[in-house]
Amino acid sequence: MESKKNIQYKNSIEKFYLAILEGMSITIRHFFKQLVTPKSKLVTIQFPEQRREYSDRYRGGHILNLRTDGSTRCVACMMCPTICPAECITIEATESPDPKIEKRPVKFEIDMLRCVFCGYCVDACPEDAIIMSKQHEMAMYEHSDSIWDIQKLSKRAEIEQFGIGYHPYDPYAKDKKKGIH
Amino acid sequence: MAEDTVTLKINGKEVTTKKGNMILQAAEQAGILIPHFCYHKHLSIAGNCRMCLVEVEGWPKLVISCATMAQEGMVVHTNNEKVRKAVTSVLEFILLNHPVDCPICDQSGECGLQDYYMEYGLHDSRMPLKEKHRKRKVVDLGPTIVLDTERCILCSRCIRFCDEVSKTSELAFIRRGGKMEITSFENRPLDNPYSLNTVEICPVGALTSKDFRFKCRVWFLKTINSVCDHCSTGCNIYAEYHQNKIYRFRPRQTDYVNKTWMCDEGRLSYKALYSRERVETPMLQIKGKLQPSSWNDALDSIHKTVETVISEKGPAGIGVIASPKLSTEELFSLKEFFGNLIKTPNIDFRVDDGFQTNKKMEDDVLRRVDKNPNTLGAMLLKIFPTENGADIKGMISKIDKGDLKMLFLVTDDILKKEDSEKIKHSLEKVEHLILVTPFKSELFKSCEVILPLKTYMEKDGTFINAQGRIQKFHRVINPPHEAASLVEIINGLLQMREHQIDLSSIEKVFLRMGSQHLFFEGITFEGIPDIGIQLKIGEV
Repeated sequence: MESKKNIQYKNSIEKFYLAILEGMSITIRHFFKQLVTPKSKLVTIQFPEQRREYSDRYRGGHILNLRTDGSTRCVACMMCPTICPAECITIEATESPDPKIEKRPVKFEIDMLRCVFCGYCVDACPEDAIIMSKQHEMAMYEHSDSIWDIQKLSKRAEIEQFGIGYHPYDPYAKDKKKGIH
Repeated sequence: MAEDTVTLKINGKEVTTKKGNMILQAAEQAGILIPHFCYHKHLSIAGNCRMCLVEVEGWPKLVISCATMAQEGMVVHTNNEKVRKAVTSVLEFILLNHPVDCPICDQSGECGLQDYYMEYGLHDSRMPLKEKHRKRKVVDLGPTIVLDTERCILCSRCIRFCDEVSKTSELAFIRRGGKMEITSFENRPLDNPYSLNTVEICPVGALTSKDFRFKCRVWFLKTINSVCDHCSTGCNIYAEYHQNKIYRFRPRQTDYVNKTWMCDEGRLSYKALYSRERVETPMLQIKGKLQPSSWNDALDSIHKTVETVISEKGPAGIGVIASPKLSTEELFSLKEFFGNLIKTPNIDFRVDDGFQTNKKMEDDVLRRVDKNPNTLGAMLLKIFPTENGADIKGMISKIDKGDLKMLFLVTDDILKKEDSEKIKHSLEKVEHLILVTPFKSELFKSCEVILPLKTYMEKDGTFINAQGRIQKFHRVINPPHEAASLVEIINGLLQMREHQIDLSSIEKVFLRMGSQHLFFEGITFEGIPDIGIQLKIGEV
């Protein structure tokens, strides 16, 4: 038994400690290399102070668009909860005071912990009411915080910071055409 | 060949049909579906939508099949290129001024326009959006209906329904051509007792039900065959639900009972299930306080009460008040246990005067005066007091005298009687009051045991309607927590007495019913078709 332990000990010296030194030498080599390379050619990004440019198709936290008068563009047609593979969208509809709009949501909730960020809801929306942002930092302390309601989805202060993500159409294109915007 | 039939060829298929039938009806017999909007099986023929065009060989033009009689030797084509081209053009005209607001339209998912567009249309609109006729939207047409004149395709089904079935004639067309629309005279409300049928037969989203409007998209709904429990007519229905909640009832076609119609009260009767708070677990009165208990404890307490009352006063000390809202099997098991086994003479179901008005019609369409679904079932099973037994009135006076020690009360329907205050006062005096009810009740304070009952949407069973048809309904939603049907409760009590009678499944109940009553002989629950069976009962 003892001899076996000795063999294991010798092996570990070769395998681990030598390997660590070898690894450290690479790190240290790069450390000195970095010191002499010009700043523009560096690969490391100083996250979170510094961020990579994301694609315009990035699928982050959702945004509910508003009409120019401030009411929500959503007409509660239920296309997004129908297509949603994670069943994370809950909508309750009601009569809109404007007979031309007819239907509006009283409740629009997305459970961000269930959401798989597939973007199908954006594709399904006939009103371009739901689009996505580039926000991906959504850690929360309470489960109840993961359910984003209609207020949170429409007034997204984070958009300024992160920018708009996946949106196949310009949500205001229709309005621009009609000359509303 | 019989004289009153004609034989014709539709799409190469020989069809023999009754003389006087239209081509569309003959095709329907043969399983060939011809697209149509204005034709409806139980309404007169209008022939104004022009969707059902077919080609008859040797005839110069295409004809509308809903208004062309089938004739001997006709050769009809319903799906060749000429017909399809014509139908596509008709559809394009119908859709010309349609707003195409499917995302917010309640009909989408079950809309004739959507279905036929996918089959015949698939065209882009040639009408510029700005030039489409704009008409009135979200018109309040009455207490139950909202009208959208833009979506209307002017098939006149709703007008004909109000003229011919409800005979109230509220609706009519006004204006002409592209500006034509449906309206009620001087905007008087469309408020006849069958008004929601117009929503049902509307092939598009022009008429929408205020009750169902925006509650749920139709493609989420699942459907189960059932029977309406609102009156003794027993209309066949589809109960539609989503996530354990019922959203609407729709009539199911049966030529024997309700054709394709249903009254508004019945259609909205699903709301009664959600109108009162439910009892969720059995409850026992312990030291003057109602406390939730297990089923075993509750049944054991009833069992002991029955034993003590019988030893003190004999079976006459027990009274049973059933309800004509129970299913046939439940009434039977109640009668088996209390009538045949314990032999109490005091058993009655007549909480209202439904047993007298069972067959009486409220109008000449569907509604009956008796608002209980199973009065005839209770009468056939003889849920009446036997000799020396007391009916409900007798039981109440017996309670006042102190002769009735135990009352087994199923549902608190008895409080609907006019002298409910007096009855309530009397019931407080019963030593052992056992209440089996789905809903929380004002009688709770005076109860010894409370058992939660399933409503009829939560169990399988049958009702016998006023015509003597036995019709079955199925479980649609799950009951709250521990609610049970009366068959299950009685079966539990039977097991406590270690008795031979086995009522553990609905088929066993039917087997036993068949052995005791001639008209149930040979009937099994599985064997009853969806449209029910006429029982051979003669005059009751």
